[in-house]
Amino acid sequence: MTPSASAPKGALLDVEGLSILIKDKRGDVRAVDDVSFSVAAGETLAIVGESGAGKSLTALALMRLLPKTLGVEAKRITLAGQDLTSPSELDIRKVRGSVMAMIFQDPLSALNPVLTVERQLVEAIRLHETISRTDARARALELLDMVRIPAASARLGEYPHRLSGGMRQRVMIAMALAGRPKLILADEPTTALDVTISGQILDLLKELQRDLGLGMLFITHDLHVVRSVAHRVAVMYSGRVVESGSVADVFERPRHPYTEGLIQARPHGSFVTDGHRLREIAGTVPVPAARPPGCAFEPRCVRAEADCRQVVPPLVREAGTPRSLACFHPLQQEQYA
Amino acid sequence: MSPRLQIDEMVVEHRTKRGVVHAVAGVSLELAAGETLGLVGESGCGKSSLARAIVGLNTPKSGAIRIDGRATDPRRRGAQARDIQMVFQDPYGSLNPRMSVRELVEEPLSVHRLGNRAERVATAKALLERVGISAAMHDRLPHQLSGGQRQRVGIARAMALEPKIVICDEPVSALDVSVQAQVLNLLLDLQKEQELTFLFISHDLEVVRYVSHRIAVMYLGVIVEIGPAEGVWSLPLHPYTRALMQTAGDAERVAATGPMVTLSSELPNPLNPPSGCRFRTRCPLAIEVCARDVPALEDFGDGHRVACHRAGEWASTATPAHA
Repeated sequence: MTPSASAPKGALLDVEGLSILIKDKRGDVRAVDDVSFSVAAGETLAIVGESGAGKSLTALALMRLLPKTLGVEAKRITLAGQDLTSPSELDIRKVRGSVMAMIFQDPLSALNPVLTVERQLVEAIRLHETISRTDARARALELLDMVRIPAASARLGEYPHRLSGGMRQRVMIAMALAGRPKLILADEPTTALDVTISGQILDLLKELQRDLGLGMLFITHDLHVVRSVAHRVAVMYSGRVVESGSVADVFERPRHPYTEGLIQARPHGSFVTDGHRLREIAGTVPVPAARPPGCAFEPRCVRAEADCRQVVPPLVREAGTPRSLACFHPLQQEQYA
Repeated sequence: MSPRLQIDEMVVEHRTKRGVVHAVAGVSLELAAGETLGLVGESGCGKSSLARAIVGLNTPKSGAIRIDGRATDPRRRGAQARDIQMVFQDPYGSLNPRMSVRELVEEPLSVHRLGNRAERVATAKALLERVGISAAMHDRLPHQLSGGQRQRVGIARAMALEPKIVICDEPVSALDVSVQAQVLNLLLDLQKEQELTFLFISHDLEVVRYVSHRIAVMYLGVIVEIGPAEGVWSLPLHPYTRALMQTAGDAERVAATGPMVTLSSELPNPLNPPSGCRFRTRCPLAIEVCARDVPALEDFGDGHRVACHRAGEWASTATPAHA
């Protein structure tokens, strides 16, 4: 893949050839293997995949929040015009929170349990702006209003454990917005929430993105959530992107057998009396250390042939489309009508 | 014919420091042999408390459980315990980490003193083979299995005592999508082979729709809507059911069959539930009567029952939208 093909002009975040290595005496293992993607301002890219696909590692690597035991390699990472391919600690501190900020899955463990909402918000605000405590408090209130927390001034004095799951996630979002970032990395932000609350949080994220023109990298395992929030999607399997493109295109006409399998494995609006059987994907996702030499999906793939066992299929952009695919024997579009 | 499982006015209370929570505030259900009742609701609505009370893990404050018309002691012991088994959400937390796969499946058999040792070993092997755990894995410990394999072991354990009724509490929520399909297919196959009755709890509406003959919706300890899966799906009548389906991505169908219901707030304090209709504090359609009178489950035909003072307004005008 040529660099220019993967990076639409004016991309807010452009990542090329990102790998994450688990260092091991018997040889390094690539938990994430040569992943490339880009996010434009005002756009949401969803990274979807099952556990172990490397989605969260990818986001943590961008924030440089990975433990030292994991190595990060990249051909190129640029964020808002700034080169972050091999950033110093100082470089990353300058952008973390103020250019890109992260929303975590579990706000209870991401928030400090012994500090009030106000203390945490004010701390986050004053990290990025030199303003007085009084002004910071006003800004904190403004942020809580922005994430639609009712009776915001009363909430400032609360501790995280006193808040409901949905409120905690709103506080997390407020904290992420404290440094006025341009890019939000959202790692399964609604997975721990109930359906009704998760819907509210997704709506909030969509609104904030539209109003503030944010770019968003949205990590999830839930295809339904992808449909509801994302413009483009990258499907990851065992540390690699296997297919990417616009959400409508990829979901209506999946070409990688894994993408198609994921979609087919979900119930499709049948009732039990219809006797419809879900299509299974046999086996399980391989751990990175035991990844087969060729295509990682080959052992579970019904379309696999000899070449799939030998060579890793590269992610190739289809001419004239925004679609990329890493498969030697993809489904033809007509086959999936 | 009496139903396979009948729950009568079950009440489950939890005592907390700040007062008594009525987790289940009078729930009655009937399940036929071979039938799946899907139970949906938010966390804190009491669905797990109900499930645990039916299995005998909680002692209900009041209410009766009948199996094939026979009353059973809620703290079932001995042979009675065999009829109802449970499949848990987290197979890691529900399997003893120090027992091998084979021991785990043998355990219920030895607890109930079924067969001699050789017979138990043979039964466990057959069960594990049935759920798709190969012989090479029989001596492994739970941490050496994948999530899907652990759930298969959990299912084999539940099946070991040849139950009539299986309570499935979020059995696939912790699993990856590709593995969910495997486990759902297995559960449905077992149901067909053994005419099992399932109470299937899930927050995933699509999964509930896929497995259920009937669907029940629970809110703050009470059933607000129950009926045949197709009826509830094509014409959700309770505002709460409509809100759930709307957020689950079925906004168009909800719009076609009556008022849209957007929930802005969260579940009220269960220590002090609202008067009248428990949903009224979050219901955009609530009127005066909702604060005063507790709505009873009213039949709208075909066993589709709804507890809402206003459901009649859209039940008559709307035509079921076929999804």
